[in-house]
Amino acid sequence: MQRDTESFIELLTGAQSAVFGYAMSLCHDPSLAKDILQETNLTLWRKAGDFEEGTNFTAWACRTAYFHVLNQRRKQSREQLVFDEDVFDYLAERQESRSPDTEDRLEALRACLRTLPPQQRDLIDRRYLPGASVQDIAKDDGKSEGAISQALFRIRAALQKCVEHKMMKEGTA
Amino acid sequence: MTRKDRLDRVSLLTSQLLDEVIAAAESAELNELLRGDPETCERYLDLVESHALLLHEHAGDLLPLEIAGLLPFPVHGEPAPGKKALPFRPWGPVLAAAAALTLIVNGYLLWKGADRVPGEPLHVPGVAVLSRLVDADWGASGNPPAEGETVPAGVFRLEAGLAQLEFFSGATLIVEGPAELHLDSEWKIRCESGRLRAFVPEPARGFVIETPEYRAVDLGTEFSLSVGRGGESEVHVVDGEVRLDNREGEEIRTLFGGDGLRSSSGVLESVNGGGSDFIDRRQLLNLANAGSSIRYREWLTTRNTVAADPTTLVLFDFENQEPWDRQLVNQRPGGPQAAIIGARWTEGRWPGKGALEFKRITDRARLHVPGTFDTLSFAAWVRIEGFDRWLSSLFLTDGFETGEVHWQISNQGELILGISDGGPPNTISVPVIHPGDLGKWMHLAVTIDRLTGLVRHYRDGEIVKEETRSGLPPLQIGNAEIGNWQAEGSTNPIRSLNGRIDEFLILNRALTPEEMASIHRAGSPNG
Repeated sequence: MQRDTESFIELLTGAQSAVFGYAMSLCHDPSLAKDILQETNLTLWRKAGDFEEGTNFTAWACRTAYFHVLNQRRKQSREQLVFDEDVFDYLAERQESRSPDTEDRLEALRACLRTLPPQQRDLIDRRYLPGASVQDIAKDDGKSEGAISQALFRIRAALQKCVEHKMMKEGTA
Repeated sequence: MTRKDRLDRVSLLTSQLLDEVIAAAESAELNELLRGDPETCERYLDLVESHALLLHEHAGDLLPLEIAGLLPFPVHGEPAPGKKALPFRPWGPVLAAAAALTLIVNGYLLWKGADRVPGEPLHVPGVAVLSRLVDADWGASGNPPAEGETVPAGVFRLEAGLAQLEFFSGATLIVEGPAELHLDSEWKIRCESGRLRAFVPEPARGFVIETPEYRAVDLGTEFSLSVGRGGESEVHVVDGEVRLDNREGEEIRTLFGGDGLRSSSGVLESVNGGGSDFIDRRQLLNLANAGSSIRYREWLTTRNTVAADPTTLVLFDFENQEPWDRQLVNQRPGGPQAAIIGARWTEGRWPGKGALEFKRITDRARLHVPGTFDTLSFAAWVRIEGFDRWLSSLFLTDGFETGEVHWQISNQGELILGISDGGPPNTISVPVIHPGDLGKWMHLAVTIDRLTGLVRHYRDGEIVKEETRSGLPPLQIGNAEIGNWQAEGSTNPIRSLNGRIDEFLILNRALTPEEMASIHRAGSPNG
């Protein structure tokens, strides 16, 4: 395999989480985001020659993903859209200016997951099982969707606080 | 609304949005909260990013598979020493050189993790993977290779039976015994005698088989070749193109699909037809499956005996479970079941055998075994894929209270049995799992008798460590995990397993060495 093909694959592989996250932030539907990731990968692969070494690969990948999200958005009906155009574009812009620290964030998130009490940890595991939904969990536990959603909100808030704390600590270390 | 209220509200609504339980009015509210506000947007993006990471993490290799699908060539070769390994290993299951890559990458990770002895290789030395065996007889060879093992360069001698070699170049050879080959590299072999069938896909073009009289350079095809004891040879091209060169590298002749050539003492003679009596890949698979089904029946008999044993606490055989099952069925009636968290169903020791794959740090199977015990045996069929960290869990009780047992492996390949009793807890074997064992099924077991103090570690039915300990407390399990650990507190590092398990036993007695050998024999995927 050629040296630059190899390093391109490495960059592409390394950017998967970030591009997926980017797509999620704009369309917040995992299966749509997966489609977008796939289309983006294809485009990036075809345009591999356009990438300038030394520039930010993730940023380039996200800009490419943006157009695929936009395409998806055009296919959706008005009712399906959560954000209006202004907010959508603003989010896309904010997202691009974020620091490319997905890997650090993942590390922090993993560490924070371990600090959760077993019950909360278990709920997260069940929520993020492929194909899982709040509806199913509510049914299994004999609780309301609202109760499960509320519990997940609290866990997310706690995780967020923990992740921020860790990122800040590492940033200054 | 204060700043903090706004941010909290965004967190709540975002969480509802991500869980798909948000009402229309709330989603409109979120839209307005985000409009032109960098701070609320930042909060929103943080939450979505964590959400995406969690999804990604729990989806395991699903997403990367999609990249693999769009690569126009198979990926093979080894990561350069010192280079950061790819974040995940997506190509393995999809592409031609899958086995090779997985082994190499795993081997690499293993060596990276271990304290290396200077001069030892950075990756598993070898040129091919032994991907399938049917009734293989290795003759007097002291250490017969097993299915799934890496084959080193050098002499490869098969007395009888069939062996399929998948070279790291991408070429596949089916060897019919008796045969003697010299494996020079993943690109070149020498056939002294025997019958071969070669499949050379595009990326392995240029794969060379030398006979005593010529070199066959494969130009992307399928062909068969035989060399008799006297050096006379025959080659038949099934499909594609093969160029024959003499020793000096000059072309003698190029053969195409349907062409055959016989060579004896330098005399070349065209032969038509033929070659169809060589075993092809489909036939080999059928033969291998037939062999598996005999072994399967033997294994089933032993399993039923264990299931009927009143001292059996847990017998997970991972069989007849559906891909969506999230509970491990205990074959011991009335015994505890285990909840599967994260780990995915996959193939076990033989085609069609169920197994669980433990890959992500969150993967585990949880169970509760009540009671206290004087004697315990643990035994499992395990396929280690790599040592991701210092300790990997086979079976660990939550926390580590007095009398609780921890069974794990170190990244040096040692088996470790810990019993919490205030003193030094561990009985540690010498390293018994080596780089070449990665990706290979093995039987690991440990027995404990607290009254005599005897602790025995086993690998593949043989004792690899024996120690007599004194003053052991009554043994207990309680809440425990296969393939992971719930530590008390958060300071303890992760101990998740990277590998597969397709059988797991716990008995309330110490199995004897004879029994352990027989359980190993009955379940051995290599017959």
